[in-house]
Amino acid sequence: MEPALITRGLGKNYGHLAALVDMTLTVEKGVIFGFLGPNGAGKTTAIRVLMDEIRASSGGASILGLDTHKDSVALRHKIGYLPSEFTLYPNMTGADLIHFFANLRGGVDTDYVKVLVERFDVQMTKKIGDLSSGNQQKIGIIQAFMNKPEFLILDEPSGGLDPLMQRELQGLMRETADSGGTVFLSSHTLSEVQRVSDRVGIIRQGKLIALESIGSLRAKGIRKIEIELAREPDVSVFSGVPGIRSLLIERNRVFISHEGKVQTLLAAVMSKCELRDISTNEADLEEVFLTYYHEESA
Amino acid sequence: MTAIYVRSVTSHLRAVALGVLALAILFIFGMAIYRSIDMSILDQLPDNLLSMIGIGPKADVASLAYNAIFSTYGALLIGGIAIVIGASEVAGRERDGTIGLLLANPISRGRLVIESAMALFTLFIVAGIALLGVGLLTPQFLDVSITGLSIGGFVTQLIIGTVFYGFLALAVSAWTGKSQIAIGISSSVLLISFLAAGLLPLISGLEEYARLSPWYYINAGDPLRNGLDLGAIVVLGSASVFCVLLAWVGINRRDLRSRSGNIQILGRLRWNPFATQLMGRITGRTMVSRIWIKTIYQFQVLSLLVSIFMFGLMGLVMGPIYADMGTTMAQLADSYPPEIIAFFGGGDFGTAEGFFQIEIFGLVAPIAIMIVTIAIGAKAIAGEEKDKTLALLLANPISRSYVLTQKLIAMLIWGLVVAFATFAGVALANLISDLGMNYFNLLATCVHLLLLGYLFGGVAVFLGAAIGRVGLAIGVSAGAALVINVVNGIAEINNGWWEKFTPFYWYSGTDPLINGFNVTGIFILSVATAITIGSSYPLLNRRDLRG
Repeated sequence: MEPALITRGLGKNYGHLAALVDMTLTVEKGVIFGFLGPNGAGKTTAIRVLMDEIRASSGGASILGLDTHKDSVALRHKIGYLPSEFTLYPNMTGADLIHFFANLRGGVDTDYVKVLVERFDVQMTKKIGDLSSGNQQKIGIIQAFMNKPEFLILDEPSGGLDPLMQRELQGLMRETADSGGTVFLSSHTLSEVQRVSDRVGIIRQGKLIALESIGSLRAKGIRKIEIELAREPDVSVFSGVPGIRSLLIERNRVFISHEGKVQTLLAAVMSKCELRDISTNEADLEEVFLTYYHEESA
Repeated sequence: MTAIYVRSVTSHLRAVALGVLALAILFIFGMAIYRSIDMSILDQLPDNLLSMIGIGPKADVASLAYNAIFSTYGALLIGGIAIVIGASEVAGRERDGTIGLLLANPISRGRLVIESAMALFTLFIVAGIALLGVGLLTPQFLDVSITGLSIGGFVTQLIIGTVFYGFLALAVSAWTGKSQIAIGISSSVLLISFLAAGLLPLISGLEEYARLSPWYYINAGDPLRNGLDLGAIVVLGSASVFCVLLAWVGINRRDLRSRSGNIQILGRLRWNPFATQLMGRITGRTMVSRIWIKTIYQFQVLSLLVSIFMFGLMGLVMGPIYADMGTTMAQLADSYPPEIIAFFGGGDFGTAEGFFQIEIFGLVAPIAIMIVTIAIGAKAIAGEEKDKTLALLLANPISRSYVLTQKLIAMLIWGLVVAFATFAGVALANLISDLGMNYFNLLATCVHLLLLGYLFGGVAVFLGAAIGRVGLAIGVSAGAALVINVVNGIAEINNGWWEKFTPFYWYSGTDPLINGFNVTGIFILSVATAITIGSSYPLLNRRDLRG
């Protein structure tokens, strides 16, 4: 099956500044692809190139078999897009805006729009300028999903949404993927990506530094370990112990982010201190992400 | 003074500097040309007529350059810039949604207004110093005598006058929170007071009413010859302080807006439940059916205001004024040497055609139509980029070219409305006051006017599409229009060979009000517009959009 998205050596330079460097990526159909990176990493630049708002300095990309530059108009029939920073026309009502975009797009099912409006509980008769940013975001989401797109590009879509609505959005993304659509979800909210994505790409300083499935990222084996000792330990206890990524000592409690065999860590601690309690947790993506980030910057 | 003051000064410095630069170029060029002309012809003109065309009595090379370029074009240009700055200081911040964060700091609204006013004042003091420098140095280089002229007093009065219009815009902006309204009202006051100060002194019985026009005080007491007129400074100064106080009261008594949109006359009706039902039946979802229709709605306030202004004030008011002055004018006209007639843009002051050519079609009508076409043209693409709405718009399966074409349709339609309003206004004046002008020639003039508007609107479209910056597109196209107009005016006096290279020649140089359509002129203006607009497409399609 042809992949949903292929980028080949995609790059974007602004003078001497490289905002996006040689991004090569393939996203299969029917998945939610999490595109992770800190602010300013190049996520939005990559998306704007895909949307043909800006032009690649090198390389190219295709979505659903169509070139993102040459076939951009034809492609946009099949795409739903929510930019990260957008403004809706403040003098229109939500209904006006949806109607306006539906006119431009053509072939929008108004019944489906009604379903989306109900799901997101949006006031469509109020002037957009008078709506809260969360409600404006909901209208942005509705316009992105209303044509039942085969490929969705969502750039930080959860901004301004309350947890309930975030869950609704995640449900909608999952439904899209389950029915064969593809979602390209750019975010720095890692918990969100962790919850919905099938695969993750991590971008930093314009470079794609990791491309993994959620499962294999978790399998990196980073753990959060909390140890309670009889008395406050000296920091030298932990020096030289392999796999410690971060260490925080609060009196007799020690918080460790650890990668590798726990046995080695425990042996080192127990040889010098009296252990009272221990608890371990699987690291969330946040820590995995920070790990990658630190590794790259080191 | 704090960060607001510094920020306001620095953010507007470029606009003021560009305005001063344009004016300086005009002044140097103008003085150089005037120097080469035999000025003795001006001695034959009556004083009040010279005052009317902004030259002032006892004209010589220097005073002609100072008065015509600084007092007329300069005051309109600098006053216009002051208005835009004044309007953007409070309402612009509300429109951009930045006022909330700004006032999250321990700064009172009153202080925001005061610092904004201080910034505006500072900017124009700097502009005044720069203009003074230009005004003093240029005659030195060109070897023109300025003995007995008080350049300092003249520039001071000019600057204080323009600052007043800026403060007026600040007051309206602080009361309404709408920068479009502030610009609309203040620039109407600017234009009306400009006309009133020039025309009222010529009408017997109404002479004294000229003192009600703020513009009158820019030249009151002839500061160029007699030095600073303290009375005028007191009047302008008090009016300015009053405007700042008004602004202070205004901003303190209302709710601030956040990211407010433009005002929409039709939109207002739509929020009224009864009107909604009615409008819904009549229009359905017309407003949002097409980009061009949406753009028509978007620019309705500006375009309708300008159209009403041209129809009502220009057309209806000018007719009776001319009818009232006609006899005097005709007598004066008999004594004109032909060079003078050329100086007036080819119009004969003694005829209704000549009067309307000078008073309406010479400067005011081109400004009016260009306000509309340049605003729509510059914002066609760049406005959507600035407002961050273009990304969503282009997420739809439409090309950049399609969006541009749709916006152009709106520009063409609103330009047509303004030109038609001008035609209708003058035609009505012609009918009511029985001025005897030929309607077909009037139509021809308005068609020429329309094409001129389209051309400079096209320049704004080109710049907006090519660079994506609204301010630059408006500034450069309006500045180009101003410079070319002055060059054309000078060429007409001087019979300069370059005259036929300026669009203004093909607009009015062939006197369409007397001679009707000029096919060559129409062809040249149309082709120039088509080339300008046509070349904006490939540039738009090639570049990165701003987001």
